Amino acid sequence: MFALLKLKVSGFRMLSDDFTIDFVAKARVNCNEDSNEIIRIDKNLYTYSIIAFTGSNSSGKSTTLDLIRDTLILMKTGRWIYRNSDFNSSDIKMHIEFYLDGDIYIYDANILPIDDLAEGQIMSPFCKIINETLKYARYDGKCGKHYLNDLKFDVDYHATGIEDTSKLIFLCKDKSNGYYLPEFSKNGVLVNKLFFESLNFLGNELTMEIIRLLDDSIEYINFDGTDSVILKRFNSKEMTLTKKEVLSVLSNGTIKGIDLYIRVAILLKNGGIMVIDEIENCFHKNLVNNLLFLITDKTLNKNNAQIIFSTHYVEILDIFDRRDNIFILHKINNEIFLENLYEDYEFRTEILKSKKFNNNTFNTLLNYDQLMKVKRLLKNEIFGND
Amino acid sequence: MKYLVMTEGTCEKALIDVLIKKGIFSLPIESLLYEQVFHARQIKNSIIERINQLPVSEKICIIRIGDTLTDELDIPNDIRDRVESCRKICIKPEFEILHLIYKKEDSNYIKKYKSKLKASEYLYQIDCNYEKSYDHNYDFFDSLSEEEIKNIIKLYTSKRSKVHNKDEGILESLIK
Repeated sequence: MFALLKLKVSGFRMLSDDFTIDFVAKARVNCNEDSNEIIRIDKNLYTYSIIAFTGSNSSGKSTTLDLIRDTLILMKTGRWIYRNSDFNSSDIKMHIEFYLDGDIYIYDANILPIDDLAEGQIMSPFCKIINETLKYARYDGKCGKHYLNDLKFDVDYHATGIEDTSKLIFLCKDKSNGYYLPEFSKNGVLVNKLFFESLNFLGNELTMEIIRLLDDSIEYINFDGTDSVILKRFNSKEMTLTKKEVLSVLSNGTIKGIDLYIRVAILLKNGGIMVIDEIENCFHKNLVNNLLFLITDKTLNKNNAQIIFSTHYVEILDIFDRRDNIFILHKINNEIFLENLYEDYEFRTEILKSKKFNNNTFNTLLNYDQLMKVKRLLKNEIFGND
Repeated sequence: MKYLVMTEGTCEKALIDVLIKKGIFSLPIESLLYEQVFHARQIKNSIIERINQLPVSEKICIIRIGDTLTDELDIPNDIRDRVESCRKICIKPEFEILHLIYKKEDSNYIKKYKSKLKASEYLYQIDCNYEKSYDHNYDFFDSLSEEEIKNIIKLYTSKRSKVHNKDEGILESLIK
């Protein structure tokens, strides 16, 4: 079993120094309580099946999810894809704690930006990774979240010998499965190139029922691997369309919903971590709730599937039974900070979480003074500055 | 009509999940709300959301399963009109009595240790591998045959049903 336990980073975009995400369950996990949102990693060590990040616009939700996504890619491929905008200092300092098949690992490294190239010079699109250290200890089944203090760690001296490839690849290549929901482009065409292929990933009957859940007028969609797709609506003739035509015929919500449902089904089948930015994008809240209900159903989620998502739609958080798997992001003076709903706030648990968000308890609503400033200027714009 | 099956702990949920899996639960899976069993002491918002998914006219019958179920169930106003009935199924004195019955240790426990130890504490003493968790209980009951599980539950009725109050149902009523 693989589980991310903690991430700490400095120098990544606008995240504050030592920006830390703790994935280990913080609130009490009574083995006989609150199990639906909990994944048992090992004895006394728990993480969550659903984790939410919320906050106002530009508070850092996407940046945080990009960090998690890039970390999972680093663990699986050993690579950190170079993007100049990732670096807000001379390097990115990464600290990752994770669990893998009975051992706890502590990984540290510095990720360097790519220097300017001389003309004609060929370079790797991946960053250099230096000062790698990896420590490990057998988890004792007792210490739980206090593993750092209670376990004795040994140092792993392996190295890849390749400057743009992390030694994490030796360990995590086949273990740290991450899935990332693709974005939409503005014209509604899906970026995910495997959308049509994914129609054949699951059993035909399940795929068709997923499609009908999203659009009950569709009788079937058949894709045979070529550019032509057969689409049949109830009480209509079968149509042979190009992929592009299918994407323009179906609504954005239908396409993204089919994609998401199929991916969640695969996630439940195989296990792994799915990272979704703005889970509500194109969807009714009800659809999102029902996806999360699937993940928190222990009879379905036997392979420790995890969904990590961001949302503006705080009503989604009302279906969370726990609070420690909800994180709130704030941007203050161009630095992004993370708070935890359990550790950093106290409120009566019987009050709906959305009510607390909507009465601005967590300072996540638009700034009132700024809103009024815009309103006054808008009035001037419309009626003139008399 | 849909049944909202709520278990007080995850051990009870594990047992009911196994009963459903093995086809010996008395109710068809399609009749359960969301075709699943909920681990919940009270009706939380996550359950209300699921009830709201049903057609407006559909009624709910609540089945609570736990050790003693002494705390009152608070039915939220949002769904009060939809609740047709509420049943309690008690596994007294404690869920682990089922394990003791399987190990033929229940009589010994009742006679000699009941006043000193909880059933789970006694079970820990005689089975150091026991864990009061969903996974452990699911794996344990799943490893038994349908007949073995039925026997445990029937033996429980024959030995323990007298300690139930009038409003407390027995587990046997939930098996085929």
